Amino acid sequence: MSHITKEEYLSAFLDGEAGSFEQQRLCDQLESDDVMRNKLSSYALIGEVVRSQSQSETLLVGESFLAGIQDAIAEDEVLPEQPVAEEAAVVIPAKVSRPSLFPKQIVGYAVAASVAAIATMSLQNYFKHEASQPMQTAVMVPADSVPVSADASVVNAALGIQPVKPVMPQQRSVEPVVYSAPDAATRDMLNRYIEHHLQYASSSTLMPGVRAVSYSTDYASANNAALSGGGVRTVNFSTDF
Amino acid sequence: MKRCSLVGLLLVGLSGPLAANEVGMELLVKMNDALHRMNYSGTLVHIKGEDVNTLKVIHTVEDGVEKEIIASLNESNNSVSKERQTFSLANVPQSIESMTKVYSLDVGAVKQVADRSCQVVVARPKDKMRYLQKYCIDEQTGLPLSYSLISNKHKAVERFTFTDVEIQLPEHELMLATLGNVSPPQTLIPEGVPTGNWVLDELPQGFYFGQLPTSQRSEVEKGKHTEHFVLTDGLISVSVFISPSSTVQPEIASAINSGALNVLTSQKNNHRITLVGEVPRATMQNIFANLSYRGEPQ
Repeated sequence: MSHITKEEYLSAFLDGEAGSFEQQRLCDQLESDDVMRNKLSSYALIGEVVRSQSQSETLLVGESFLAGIQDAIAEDEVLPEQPVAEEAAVVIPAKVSRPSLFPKQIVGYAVAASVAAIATMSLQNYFKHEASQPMQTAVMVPADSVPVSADASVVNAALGIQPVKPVMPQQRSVEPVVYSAPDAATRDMLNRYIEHHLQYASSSTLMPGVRAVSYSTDYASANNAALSGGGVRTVNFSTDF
Repeated sequence: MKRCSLVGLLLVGLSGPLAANEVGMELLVKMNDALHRMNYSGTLVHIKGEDVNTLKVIHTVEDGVEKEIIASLNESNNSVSKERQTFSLANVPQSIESMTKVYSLDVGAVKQVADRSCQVVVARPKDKMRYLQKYCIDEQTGLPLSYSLISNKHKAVERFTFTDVEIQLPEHELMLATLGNVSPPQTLIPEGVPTGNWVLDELPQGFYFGQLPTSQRSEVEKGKHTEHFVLTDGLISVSVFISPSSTVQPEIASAINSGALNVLTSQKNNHRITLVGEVPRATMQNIFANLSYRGEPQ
């Protein structure tokens, strides 16, 4: 008896590594198990995000792909909608025949279609130039896929703004610019703007006051270090993004 | 029949993430409400890269006015404390709805933070224009007990965590609780859009012009021709400051960052343009590139 968990079977299933027998069993499980279905959706989403995020570094999926998925799952611990009793070490049970709501073939086709859709979206992401298109995730549905420009135009119209034509971010080329560390005068100017932003403009940002005080503390530390000949502390104010 | 079943099954398969989106949205709305309605005090750890700041946070609501005191406990000589009256965030729920177009919401596990149970909610960006945001929201009150911003390279750029916290419903809320929900005071005005000679040709995806509080208007007027407008995607915001170059000295492009906060300043058409916000630098560069001058040549 093997001790492969449901999660591992699902990962193998999504990776195309499950044999036909396991696929059939998983289809049976998915037919009746809400938790499994949710997990499949979550794994597909996580896999998609992991793949998309790794595009900038490599176009090939490395050996750590599966480990990356599992790490992401462990970190986020996405919950099923109902408790699972046999969560961790439970083996996929032997096939038990029971009356089914949907014919098995249809369930299989449905899952295969879902996987194919996800795979198609993944491949599309794969071959897009980095950041030249917004990443699509497996959970996108028609309502979510409405271009953001529509929303922006509604807001702009409501505010009486005429100009803006929201488009993809990189359609206007951003010329490479070398940014230097600010001198004292620039730093003072920037600090006023930062204070202004944190005090008035961070309406949608969580706890802007904490950032403001934390920034002030760092700035005071940096100034004190400079005054005492210790040099400006660069940990928080580095120009390395 | 088979086709209907297939479609039905696909919809069932998608219902998990969709439900997570809705639950996540409700939790974020509740969180924003709690942040500005609750009385709370506690110790908060703020982590930026390898730097750790410990802060004392006291938030009270008296007669509908918020008061927030935040003091750094790190170094006694450099401690900074501020007391300020915050403005209403009555528009936040609306912006949260719009932000679901650029973020996917996941509802995660229940964890223990500061000896309280909290629900993990993750806002995953659908592009690289913004950070992933992870919250742990107090199950009882909705207050965020921990909050992280994570870059697209899986690195936490900033993290806030309460190590201890006491939360109370304000007294006037206790009295009104039996009368139903009360809307927070509305003090925002539809300002904060470019009104001068500058226009933004193209908005970054998912961003729209934000609103500024009335109290900021006088501050701007004191700013000697400095124009200030805000872009937001519902979760984070970017301020754009534009001033004639003659009123400021620096001539070179500079950039700094502090945790998730990035600052970029450069020149265009004899104006100094400064962007401040909790977004990656590339997003700021995009905004800068799309700013166009429509006024008389200087």
